Amino acid sequence: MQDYFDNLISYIIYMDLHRFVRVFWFFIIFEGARYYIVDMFVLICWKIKGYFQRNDVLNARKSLWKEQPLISIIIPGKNEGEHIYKLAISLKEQTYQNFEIIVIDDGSDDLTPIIGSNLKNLGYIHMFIRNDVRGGKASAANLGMRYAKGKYIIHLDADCSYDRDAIENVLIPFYQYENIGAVGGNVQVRNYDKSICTRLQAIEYANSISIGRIVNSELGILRIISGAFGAFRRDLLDRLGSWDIGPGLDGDITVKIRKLGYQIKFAPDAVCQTSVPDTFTKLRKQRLRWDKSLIRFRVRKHKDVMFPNKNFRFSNFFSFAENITYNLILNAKWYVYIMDIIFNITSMVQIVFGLNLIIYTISNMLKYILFSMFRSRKNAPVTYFIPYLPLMVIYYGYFLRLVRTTAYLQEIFFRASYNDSWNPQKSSKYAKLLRI
Amino acid sequence: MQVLKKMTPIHPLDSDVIEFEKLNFKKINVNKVWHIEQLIGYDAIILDASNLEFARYFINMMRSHHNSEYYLKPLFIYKPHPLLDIDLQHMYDGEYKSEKDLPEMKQVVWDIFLKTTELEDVLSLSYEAQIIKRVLNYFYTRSINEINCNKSTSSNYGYVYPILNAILKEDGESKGLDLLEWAEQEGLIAGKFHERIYLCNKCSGGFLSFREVCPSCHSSDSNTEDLVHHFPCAYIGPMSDFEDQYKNELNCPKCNKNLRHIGVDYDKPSVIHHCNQCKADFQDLLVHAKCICCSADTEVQFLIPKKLKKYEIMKKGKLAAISGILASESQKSIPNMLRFDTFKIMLQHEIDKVKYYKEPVLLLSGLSLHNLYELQQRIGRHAYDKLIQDLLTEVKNLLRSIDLVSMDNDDTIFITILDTDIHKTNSILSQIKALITSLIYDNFRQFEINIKVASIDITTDNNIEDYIALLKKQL
Repeated sequence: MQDYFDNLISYIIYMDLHRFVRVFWFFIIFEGARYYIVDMFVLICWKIKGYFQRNDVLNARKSLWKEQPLISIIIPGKNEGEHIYKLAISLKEQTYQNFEIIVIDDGSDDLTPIIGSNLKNLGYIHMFIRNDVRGGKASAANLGMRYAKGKYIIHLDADCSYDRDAIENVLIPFYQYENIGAVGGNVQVRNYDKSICTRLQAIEYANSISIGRIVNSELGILRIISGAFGAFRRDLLDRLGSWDIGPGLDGDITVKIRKLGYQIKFAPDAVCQTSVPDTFTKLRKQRLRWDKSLIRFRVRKHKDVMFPNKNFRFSNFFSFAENITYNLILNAKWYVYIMDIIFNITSMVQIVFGLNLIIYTISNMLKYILFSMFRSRKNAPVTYFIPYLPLMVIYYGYFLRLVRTTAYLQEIFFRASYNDSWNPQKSSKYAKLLRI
Repeated sequence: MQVLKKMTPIHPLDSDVIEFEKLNFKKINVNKVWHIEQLIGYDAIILDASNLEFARYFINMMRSHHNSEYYLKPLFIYKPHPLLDIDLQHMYDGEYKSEKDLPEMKQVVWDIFLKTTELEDVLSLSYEAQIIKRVLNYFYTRSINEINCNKSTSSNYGYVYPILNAILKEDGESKGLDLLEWAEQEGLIAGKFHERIYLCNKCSGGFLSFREVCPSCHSSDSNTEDLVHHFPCAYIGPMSDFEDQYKNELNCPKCNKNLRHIGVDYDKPSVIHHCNQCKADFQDLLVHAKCICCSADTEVQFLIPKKLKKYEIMKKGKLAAISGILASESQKSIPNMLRFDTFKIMLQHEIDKVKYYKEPVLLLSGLSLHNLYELQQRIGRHAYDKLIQDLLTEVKNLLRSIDLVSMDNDDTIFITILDTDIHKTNSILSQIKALITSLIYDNFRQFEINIKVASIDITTDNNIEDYIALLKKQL
């Protein structure tokens, strides 16, 4: 072990630029450029722009309060009774109150129907609709949509809670910018202190959602609005027939709105907190489901975005290209990189992996600390997560990458998302048949 | 009890009187003008019951009369209307068809007379006791052991207990259930479950129309539709969204596909209701009960549930009919207050002390609340009990902890203020009287309570019951 560290240190001391690029070409060319340099540049621009646009935000807020449109909050779910009460309470605290809450119980087999009816009778929610037979999340959301009366539709997950001004802030972009079709809220991890798994996810969410979506939104390539917190123009949902069969319906609806020619914005100050899986087994299951949607929706269902046609838009093309490049192609490329290291620098493999760990940990720390300056709302102090940042190399670089690869392969070769029990088979078999 | 012993008619020329073996039967029909007082002196009545309304009115009027001369009088019906329903069962003593029936009727009348002579007049019992005593009297004289309830559209709550409903009349019919419950608690009758009913919480009426109503505007004008889920596109909405009136087909409004086979490409996971008045959509209809009598529209959970029972008259009940409902049987049990029998024991103990130590002063005082029963009729038994409890608590607050206070069922408050002379006692009693008067006046729409106050010296060798009787005489 002593020898290993001696070799590692001497390797670092005698390493020149050529050697560094040879060993870390993957990080330098792809990840460093995209997730560090571009992100930092965009964030600085965003901050400067925000300063100059501060009056626009004020005016948008005034317009919202002047109009005070009715908002329909749709909360579909199965066996979510215990969460609905807490959610209803957190919504009662909102600064913006002109909303109706529609809860759709998608065939629960617990006490949800009783809780929902009681909440309705007590006036905590405005409408409670129960389906005795489960139809899937898309159909539940569509049912809520069918009876919604609001000008904007906000889709929430029952197990989330919301900052007091979250509803107000998620509506502001509709009044600040032209041609906004939907706005995504900022999702943070509520149970970050429950396990190592949740802490790592909290760091991941801070990077990929709180920061990553600001960057994507500024670049005009935001392609997903979390099902946990998203606001939509009602007229657009009506035109689109609302949600299609999932899993991955939140990304799908966002792409459909983009294809209509509308912009998607991210509202970093509209904060929602959610509970994430607290074990790696549960997390793996969740991510397998999420990651399959890249193949199902981006590569297959909406592949037309990539080709010239009458609805072609460069922003949509760029959004998809970036997504597919960084998540699918580079994911495969990473294995090429690993093979390159193993077969071409065989003698140095152990040293390179050790170095990899050091480089990624340092870069993760720098990124996390620097980017934290751009996050106005944090779920815990930055210092809380710093001790866990070295683990992110394993978590993000290996664990999630392996899960992602598995998901892609399952979907490419077996269309596995259509067999996912998350959606009832009666619907999934049609989705598979119709290739949607 | 005074019985009709007049064996000769006091109206000898009355052509509507049938005489049979020294008994005179007065015939009553709808065409004759008559007053209830005209029935006095006749041994029995034969009522022409061909007119249903009149028969019902007459029987109820007679049986509800406070005077035993009328409510216990034997009554036979003649030419009964076919619809003379079951609710009048036990309210008359037989049917008169022809003179051939007279021997049998004579026997019935004599049986009633004999039984009536056994009854004692016991006055100034509590309200409950007075009513129940009349019911027990009637059933005792008819040798009937059961008090049955019968369905009846003439009753406010759909059922009648013979005699009891007649006495209470329409206004207080439902209070009869409380009275029977009280009598059961006292062991006078024993109940057996017959039916559960729900009464209007405004008028205690039992004729209710149950309707499913909109939870927003409470209108019953609503439509119900199936919710349809189209599997391929996840659209879900009411059936009307899918109906194509021209082609008589079901087409999905989202993907325009034709719905073909339930369970294969679509299903109906639920139903939804649409209110035609306020346009609300909802799944949980409220169930309201509309009272036919007072039009009150109430959620069913707020209706008053009542158990209807059939009662058997117990030995104690028969005894009560003969000699009255004893104080101990009708003893009110008031929380934190001495029961009247305990009061008497403690008073006896004080009397013994007076005799033994030759102490000079021991006063037994009483406040008789003469028309308090009227309040009970107005507010019901439960509210009345609460009132009594509150009044006694207030009275107790004016006295010392060593003083004895209790109340009998005659609405008389008994007080013994120990070691206090007559002047001071009178002053305290005046304060109590003023307090009760003002409390009742202020809380019950200016109801004026009639209170009489009296005190007696306990100096002689009489027993406790004699003292109480003496005091009650003065009240």
